[in-house]
This record gives sequence, structure tokens and C-alpha cells, in this order.
Amino acid sequence: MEIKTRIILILGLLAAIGSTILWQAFRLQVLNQTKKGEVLKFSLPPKRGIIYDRNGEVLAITLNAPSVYACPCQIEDPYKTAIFLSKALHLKSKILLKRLKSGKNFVWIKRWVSDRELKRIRGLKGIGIQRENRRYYPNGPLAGQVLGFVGFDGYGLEGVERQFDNYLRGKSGYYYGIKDARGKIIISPKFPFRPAEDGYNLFLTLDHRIQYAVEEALARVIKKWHAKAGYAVIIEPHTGEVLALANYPRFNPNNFRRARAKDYRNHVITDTFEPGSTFKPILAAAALDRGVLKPYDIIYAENGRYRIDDAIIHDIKPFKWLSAQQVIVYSSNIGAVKIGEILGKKAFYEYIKRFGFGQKTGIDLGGESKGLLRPVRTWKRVDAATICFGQGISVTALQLATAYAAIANGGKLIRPFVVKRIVDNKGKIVKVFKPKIRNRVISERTAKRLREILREVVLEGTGKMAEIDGYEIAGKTGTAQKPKNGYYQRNKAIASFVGFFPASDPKVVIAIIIDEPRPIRYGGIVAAPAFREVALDIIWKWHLSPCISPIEMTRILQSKQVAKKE
Amino acid sequence: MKTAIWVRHNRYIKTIKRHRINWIFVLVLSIILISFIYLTLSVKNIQIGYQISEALELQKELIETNHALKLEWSQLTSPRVLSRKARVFGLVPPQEIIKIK
Repeated sequence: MEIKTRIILILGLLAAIGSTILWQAFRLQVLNQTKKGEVLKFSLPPKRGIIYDRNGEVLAITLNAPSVYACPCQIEDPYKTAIFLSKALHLKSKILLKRLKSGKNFVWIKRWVSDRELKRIRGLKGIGIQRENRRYYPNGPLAGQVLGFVGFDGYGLEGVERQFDNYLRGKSGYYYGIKDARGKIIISPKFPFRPAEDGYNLFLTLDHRIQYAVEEALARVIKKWHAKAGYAVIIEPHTGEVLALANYPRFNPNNFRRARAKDYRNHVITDTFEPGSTFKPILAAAALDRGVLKPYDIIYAENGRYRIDDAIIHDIKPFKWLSAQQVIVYSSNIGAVKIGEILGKKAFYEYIKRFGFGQKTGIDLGGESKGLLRPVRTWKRVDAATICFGQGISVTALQLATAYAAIANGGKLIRPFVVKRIVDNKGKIVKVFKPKIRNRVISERTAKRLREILREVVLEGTGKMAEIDGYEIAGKTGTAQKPKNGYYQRNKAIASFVGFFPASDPKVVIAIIIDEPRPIRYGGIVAAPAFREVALDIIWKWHLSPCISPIEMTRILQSKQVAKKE
Repeated sequence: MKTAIWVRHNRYIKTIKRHRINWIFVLVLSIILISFIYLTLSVKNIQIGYQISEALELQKELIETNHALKLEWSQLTSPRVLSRKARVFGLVPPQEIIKIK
């Protein structure tokens, strides 16, 4: 064959091979690249926003957690698998067997398993693991009822999680992609791409250290006095920021699966009780503000026994003549009834409403109760009398704290709130919640006078066990019998102490409510020491200086030491 | 293509060779070039697609790690955990804290 022919043949062959390769490449890369069936839509789940306390400490955060599912159609021996899984995951084998025999393609076995449980079931045929977002509460039961919890589907079901679910949840994103032979996803820029928008983060007004101190103080008091339950609220009186909101028994939102409704209900805002003597300052405020009474007006306390229609009002101790101020300081029920008679029931009712009772405080949490305040037209003489010392009316712990905050801040009823601000992931502020004044309740002058009276309660009256040297504690004790079937039970009461400090310039209002303490039921003995404990903790954490000079403080301490030695 | 040059009086002078453009050759070459460019861009597209996927995965992992660290920090600095550890070391809260100044 001639060389020229051979060259032509070889070149022709090479050209043919080259053309084939080029054609295949062209066909695969250009013609067949965007077949619709190969492109899949993938969702990008958002991360739920983080909940912080006022100092930036994490209270709730979301992480991936493994969940176990089964493909019943792939399981050869459902009985064996059910028994194995029930031991590994601590589930009932009967329920598992029912799911494994269901014939479905996919069933959940257990959501959010621990790493230890995961290790036990790896490699089991027909059993798979899927990573899901799980909500963690690193401080356990701390502020459990306030935070609430999130269900398996990522929706908030109680508390702040529910109330601000729209902000916390975020928005899912999506992208289109192709899966290659290795299972890796290639994002296709030809199709729309929307990144996930993670949920916004919340900063609460709560201080987690103060919250912890309050919860521990409550737990100690309840244990000491064998009480049924206890609640506490701490509010900043000028802004309405809730620094702590504690319930006992506690609730751990990490274990919401086993919880009942009464466990995670926020009793501070949902449960009502008769406030007892802690309501007397409201009466005094009304009388002073109206000008019908002055602090040193004298009232006859009927020697401890006063008849009104068919009812007899008693005092703990028989008193004869008391000043209006002393009625509050020594907590005379009869004295309070007499003040109420001077004030008049309509005027008193008006002030009760002004102080926010019988209506919601407007706190940014769901499930709040209005309390129970009957219309004044239904009050008989006995009803008007009993309301004067806090029976015949039902209030929540939050309403009581808010009313005292009005006394502490100069007479303005503020709206309490727990969420301070909402920020996005880059720290940009989305929303700020500012203090809101609902209405003016009493004049500044009346508020100042009342603070002085409440200071006397702690210095000379029933609240001595709440006193802290140098810090001007002011407040009122309460011991209210609990009603049942229309009668008051002798052996069951609510012991309370609501107060603030320093009296001259209050920084914080604290309300302590103890349900059914035994054997002693008095607020001055049960609740006042708990108040003191919490107040000391706040003084320490906030480095609050005493209201008196160092010389005066030293003198008080020295005289105490001398008294101790003697 | 050959072009003959004629001058006046129809006298033949010479013949010039003019190159004829092979349009088919140009077309084929253009197709190959465009395909090559398209192919290159397509491959680049796929590479970037991989990179975006990997970057998204990395971002997801980093966010997860960040959250895990925040959770661990919160758990370690939780007042409950700290007070429990303090008790192990024999530390007790003071009976009374008095601030003089």
C-alpha cells in the first residue's frame, strides 16, 4: 500500500474516533444536561432562634439530634427487631411490633435519641437514622414554665416559645440540584435558590442568676414548711422588666414528653388566690389618695372583734386605738374594714381597678388570668368589708407585684414584660420592647407616704423577718385562708410577702407566695425570710450599696455583735 | 480560484491566484470552538455547583458546631452545675454578705 494511502487511512480512523468522542461529549454535556427528571428540589431547614437572658446567657438553643425510623417492608423478622429495639431504646415491644407490622414504607420509632441509644442500634437492617432539629434547655428546669417548650415538629407549644413562635421559627429555604453517581449533590444555578432564614434570637428580661436564686429560695422554703407549692415574681418597678418568674414545683422543658399540663402551666400568671393582708396597702393607697384619711388619723379596732351583719371580723391580736398607719403596720383586719367604710365601696372599687386588678396585666405570655373581682353593685356590706383585708377577691401573683411596683415607682401602673428585644443572626435589632405605662394610679406624694408606711411594717410590724440592715426593706405580709365550698379552711392558707427596696428609691419589687405551708401559716414567718434571702442575693449580684453611710453601717453591725455576745 | 487580469486591447498579462474561503471548514471549526467553550463553562458550572454544595454543608456544620459550643458553655456555667461542683470542693455560700460601702 502506498504511504500516502496509509496516512490517509490512519488519519481517517483517528478522525472517526475523535468525532465519536466529540459527539458523545457533545451529546452528554450539551444535549442531555438538563433533563427534568434528574433535577431534585432540596429543602434547607432553618435553625430555630436562640433565647438568651438579659446578660446574653443561653436559655434555649437548637441542635441536630438523631431520630430513629424504620422501613417495615425491609424488616425480615419484626418480632426479633421489636424486642431488640425495645431493649435498646427503652420502649414497649408491643407498640413497636404494631408499627413494624404496619406494612408502611416509613414509621418513626423514637425521636431525639441519645448517642448511647444510637450506638446500640447501628447497622440494624430496615432501621435508619435521620437528623432533626432538637431544642435544648441547658439550665434544665430554670424558668421552665416561662420558656415553655417546642414539640417534635418544631412549633412552640408553651410559654415564650409559643408566644414568639413566629419570630423564632425562621423560614425554610430550598435549592435545586442533581445527585451524582457518588450521591453528592451538585447545586444547579439554572434554578432558583433561596437560602434558609434562621429564626430570630430573643433576649429576655430575666436574669438567670437571680432566677436560679429565687427558685432555690422557693425550694428551701417549701421543703422547710412542707408547703404544696410556691411562686415568686421579681419586677423592676420603673420599667416593668421581669427579672425572675419562678414556680414550684419546677418543670424541665427538656422532658416535656412526660409532663402534664399542670406541670408546665405558669402558675404565676394563671393561678389566682385571695391576697389577704397584702391587699391592705391598696386600701390605704386609695384612702390617702382620695384625701379621706391621713396616716395619723385614729381608728378604733374594736378590741379584736367586730360584727358586720351576720359576720364577725377578727384580728390576730386585739387592738383598741390605732392610727391609720398602724392599721397597716400591725395588719388589723378591723382597722382595714373601718378605713374601707370611710372610703366608701365605690371609691375603693375604682382604685382596685386602677391598680390593675380584675384585668390582665398585659404581660407578653399566654394564658394570663384576669383574677376575680365582682362588680361593686353586687357587694353587700360583708363583701365590702372582707375585700378591705384581701378576701373575697382573687388575684394573680403578677397582678400583686405590678400593683406594688406602682407604689414603688411613684404611682404609675406599668405593663410587665419578659422579652426585651429581638435580634437577627447578625446581631441587627429587629424589634425592641419598651416600658409602657398603663395609667397613673395614685399621686407621687401618696406613693411616697405609702412607701414610708410599708417601711414601718418591716421595722415595727409583721415584716421584721424581711429586714436587711442598711437596705430599707419595705413590704407587707399576708396570710389568707383558702376557701372551699363557700367556707374558709382554718388549716389551709396562702402565706405571702410582697415588698421592695430600698424604700426611698426602689430598685426591685419581689413577691413571694407560698401555698399551704404547715404547721405555721403566717406570711411574716414563712414568706418574709424567703424575701430576705432573695433580696440578699440581688444585693450581692448587683453590688448594691447600703442606703446609709459606712459609719452608720459599721455602728449597726457592732451593736448587733455586742447584742449577740450578751 | 483563478482571476485573470486583462488590460486594454484585451491583452492577457497574467493570472492571479485568489484564495477561496472554505465556508464549511469555518462552520465546523466554529461549532467545535463554541462547543468547547460551552463544555468548559458547563464543567465549571458543575465544579461551582459542587463547591456551593460543599460550602453549604460546611456552613451547616459550622453553625451546628457553634450551637454545640454555646450549649456546652451554658451547661458548664449553669448556676446549678457550678453550685453542685462548689459543694464537691467543700465551698458553701456565705451566711451573710454585708456591704459596708
